[in-house]
Amino acid sequence: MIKNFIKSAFRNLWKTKGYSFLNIFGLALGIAVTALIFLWVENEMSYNDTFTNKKDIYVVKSKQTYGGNTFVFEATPGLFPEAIKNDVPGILHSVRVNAGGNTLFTVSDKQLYQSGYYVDPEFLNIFSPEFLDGNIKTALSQPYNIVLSETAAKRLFDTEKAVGKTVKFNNNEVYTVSAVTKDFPKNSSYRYEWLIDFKKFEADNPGYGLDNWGNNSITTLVQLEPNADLAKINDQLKFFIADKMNSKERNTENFLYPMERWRMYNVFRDGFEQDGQIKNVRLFTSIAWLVLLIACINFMNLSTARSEKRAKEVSMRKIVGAKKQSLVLQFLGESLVFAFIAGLLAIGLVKLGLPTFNTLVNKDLSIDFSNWYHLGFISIIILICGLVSGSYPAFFLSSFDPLTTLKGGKRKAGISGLIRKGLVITQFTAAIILMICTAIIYLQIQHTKNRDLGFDRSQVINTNIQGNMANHIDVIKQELIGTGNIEVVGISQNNVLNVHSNSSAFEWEGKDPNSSILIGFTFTDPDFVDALSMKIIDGRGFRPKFLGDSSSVLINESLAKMIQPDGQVSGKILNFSGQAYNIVGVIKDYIYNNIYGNADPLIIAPLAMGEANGIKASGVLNIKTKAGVDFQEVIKQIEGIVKKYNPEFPFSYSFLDDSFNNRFASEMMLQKLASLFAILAIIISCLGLLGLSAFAAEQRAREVSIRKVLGASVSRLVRMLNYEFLILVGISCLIAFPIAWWFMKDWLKGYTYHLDMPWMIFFIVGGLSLIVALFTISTQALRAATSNPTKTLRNE
Amino acid sequence: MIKITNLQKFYRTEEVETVALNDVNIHVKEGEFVAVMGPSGCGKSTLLNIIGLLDDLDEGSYLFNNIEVAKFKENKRSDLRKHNIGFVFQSFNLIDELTVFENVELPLVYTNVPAAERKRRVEEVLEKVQIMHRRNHFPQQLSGGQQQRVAVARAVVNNPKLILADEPTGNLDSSNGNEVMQLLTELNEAGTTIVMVTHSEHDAKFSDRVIRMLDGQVILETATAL
Repeated sequence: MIKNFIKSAFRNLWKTKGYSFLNIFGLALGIAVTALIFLWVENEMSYNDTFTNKKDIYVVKSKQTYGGNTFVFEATPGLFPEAIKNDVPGILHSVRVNAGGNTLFTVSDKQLYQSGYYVDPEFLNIFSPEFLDGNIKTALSQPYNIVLSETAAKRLFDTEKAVGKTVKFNNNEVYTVSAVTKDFPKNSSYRYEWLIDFKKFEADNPGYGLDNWGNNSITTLVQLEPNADLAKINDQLKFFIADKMNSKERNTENFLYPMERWRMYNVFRDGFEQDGQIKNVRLFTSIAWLVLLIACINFMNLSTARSEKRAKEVSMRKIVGAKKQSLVLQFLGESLVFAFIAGLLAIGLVKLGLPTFNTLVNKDLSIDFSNWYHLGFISIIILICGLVSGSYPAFFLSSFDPLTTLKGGKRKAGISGLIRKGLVITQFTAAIILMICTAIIYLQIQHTKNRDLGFDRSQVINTNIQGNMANHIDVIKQELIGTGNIEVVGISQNNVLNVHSNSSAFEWEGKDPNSSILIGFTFTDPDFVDALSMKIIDGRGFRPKFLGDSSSVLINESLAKMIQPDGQVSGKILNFSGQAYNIVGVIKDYIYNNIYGNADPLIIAPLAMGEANGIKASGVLNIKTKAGVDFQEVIKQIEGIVKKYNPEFPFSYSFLDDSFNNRFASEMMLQKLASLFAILAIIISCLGLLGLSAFAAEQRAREVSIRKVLGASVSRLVRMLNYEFLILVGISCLIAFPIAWWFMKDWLKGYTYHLDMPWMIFFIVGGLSLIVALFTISTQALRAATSNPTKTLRNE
Repeated sequence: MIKITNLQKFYRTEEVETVALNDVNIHVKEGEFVAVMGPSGCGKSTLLNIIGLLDDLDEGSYLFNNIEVAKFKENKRSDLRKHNIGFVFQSFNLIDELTVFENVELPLVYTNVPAAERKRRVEEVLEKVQIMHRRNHFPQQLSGGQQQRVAVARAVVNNPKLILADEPTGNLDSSNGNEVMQLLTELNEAGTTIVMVTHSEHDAKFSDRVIRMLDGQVILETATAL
């Protein structure tokens, strides 16, 4: 019997090649999209799985409350890791970690920037990297030892053995490669290209405040003993710092945050874990199931629509003895065959689409059939598709009454017609929801990109101050201005979008002694404000060369209004650690760190003040070019000047605009993926609509022919045939709009700076859906309306 | 074999009730060849469908081999049908996606006959209707007469006690029609009971008895002249 069913399935498939193709391709597309999304989800969910100690690894977080707001950081004092290792039972390893950033490595004539960390040696015990050369005992045993990742070693030394060789670090010091380790996979935390003993960082940065319990400047990573009591340890860590400082203040708490949650849940609001990447995982999983549902609905619709063609077969099978169950099994089996073929095609589509998808999501995903999960997943999806898609057609087809067929009657549309219409509505509703969400995500990104940041990011080129540049910075600035293409050059500690330092220890006259306000601070030169076209709204900027301004600071509008409601605070004094600083000016708020948030209070202090406080002379040049310059030429000029004074370092630069746009990387990825899936959802829906409209035209061929003979015009006939389907798309819009509104209202709420719900988008998307549907249906309607009526009527 | 008593059959729509069969009494003995004749719309096909358990009666009794089948549910009817009744239709009703062999094999598939036994019986019956040489062809590749021979083969492959033929020569020319009637006669001579609906007086002569109907009622039963 099975052989009979399979033969019948393939022959039916071949007989209606066109519809079969629509059916199978639509399903294959749905399966392929689902597979790609689940590969991404698998990669995300397996973040850090490479670490065997994963369940025992934690980062120490610090929860601090200022002015009624609670912030959660991963910063702890430099003394913290050793102290808790000694004082808190259950901690197996506790290490200091500080990001070393992108550092210049020079080997012979090869110069490369590599990123890495300064870590205590037990970092290697916690993360257990695979040693390709060298060993864990000696890797970080000396201050000038450096561990390289496999990729870094290959880049620097090609195929030569790296261990034992030396590298010049920042064109300054020479390190010896002590070990080479296998790269951590892309889906893991703390991927490094180099590691150096933290003690070296400590020795090189005496002013970093590592011995100050009040200075949270490094990350603490911890591995607990296997059966450690987490609750008890957290209890002991909670006010550990305050106790060490003999302070009664309880506005800072520390707790352990497990590695198992780093990737998925590491977003805190108001001191509580809210979500993180899990939001996107849930979103894309929902999209995957939605697209698959659309594809399955397609299949159901096309199968049932074509059912009239199989009425005779079903009736005869029943007459010669087939029971309903047998027919149900037959049609489910056919559906599984279709799903299997679609699955094979989907695998091809996935392999074809993976390189582009990987570029989009910045991962190295691959489908691997030796992996039981992948094989099992595809098999289950095919099974689900086959059974879900085939369920309704199987029961529908098997319920045909043989008598009606024998009498030459057709089944009345009845409930089956309603179900089919319902399925089309469901498909288009899902696709329209996706399109609306995609459009709103795009608009939100554009809205934020067009936001007035409080500074002008156009025509600003950034280059890092490194090597010898600091010793010649004034000359460099002069020569840059001397090119005639540059308006002004300002120096800042970091890129203007980043403020890494903050403190709650600032005081001023009239401040509520019980209130604790976290204030960001950064260091700049006097030209910074002009280079970024910031606006001074009270007082003045720094004087050139900080003449008389060694203890002056600028503050932003938000801080000014906290000090005094009218914000006119120039001349007032800020106190910090017993030092008095004179507020000489107030700048209009500018957005830093969180580009979706409001401007947080900020202090801008002279660079020299930073250096006096142990912050190394480094920083960023903000080079404001004149309007209309040739950027290629300007960059060549900048490079020439910089290399003149800093020949040992390769020149690199970035546009501030690009740095800003890179902030949207996550949202851009979300928007691109959502667009892609929305387009695919519409394509699948349209494939279904194409099939259905062709079938409807076929069904009504006799009616169309008679109407034509009686005088109906082509346009009238096309309208008649289109009307039925356009109504369905219209109903889909009405259902989709409130659902999409609800989703996106919730999503937008997650951004402090967000656009108002753009109502026009709903109507534009609705209109576009109708146009796309109209175009799809009209091709079939036009074909039917322009066919020769005599051909149809002759066959009657 | 077939005893129908006081059969009533109505067709109802929202507004109209039509009496399709009105107090019909029919008795068909085993081994008989009965023709049912009458003008279009007289209810002869409806009667055939009821005899073939494809339709149900509204009132009356239907004894098939002394079993009352009037109230049988679909599964029971299906079982009874596939083991006892073969059908031959005017428009052949072969399944286009199956070959000649597969079409004839189909009833045996649904009665769970093993594959080897199926092959033997199908080949035997294809030889009998002289269509064995086209066993791997599809219905669209055969002439009308050949298709009807295949349909007859399908109807008899399960050795049914009863064959119901609804205008079996309606779509055939006289030569092919005679061939089909000859086949049915041979089957009847071998013991199969046949009830045939026909418009053709010529075809009716092959039967033992003719039942004439008009407006849903049996108006006359005559033995056929030998």
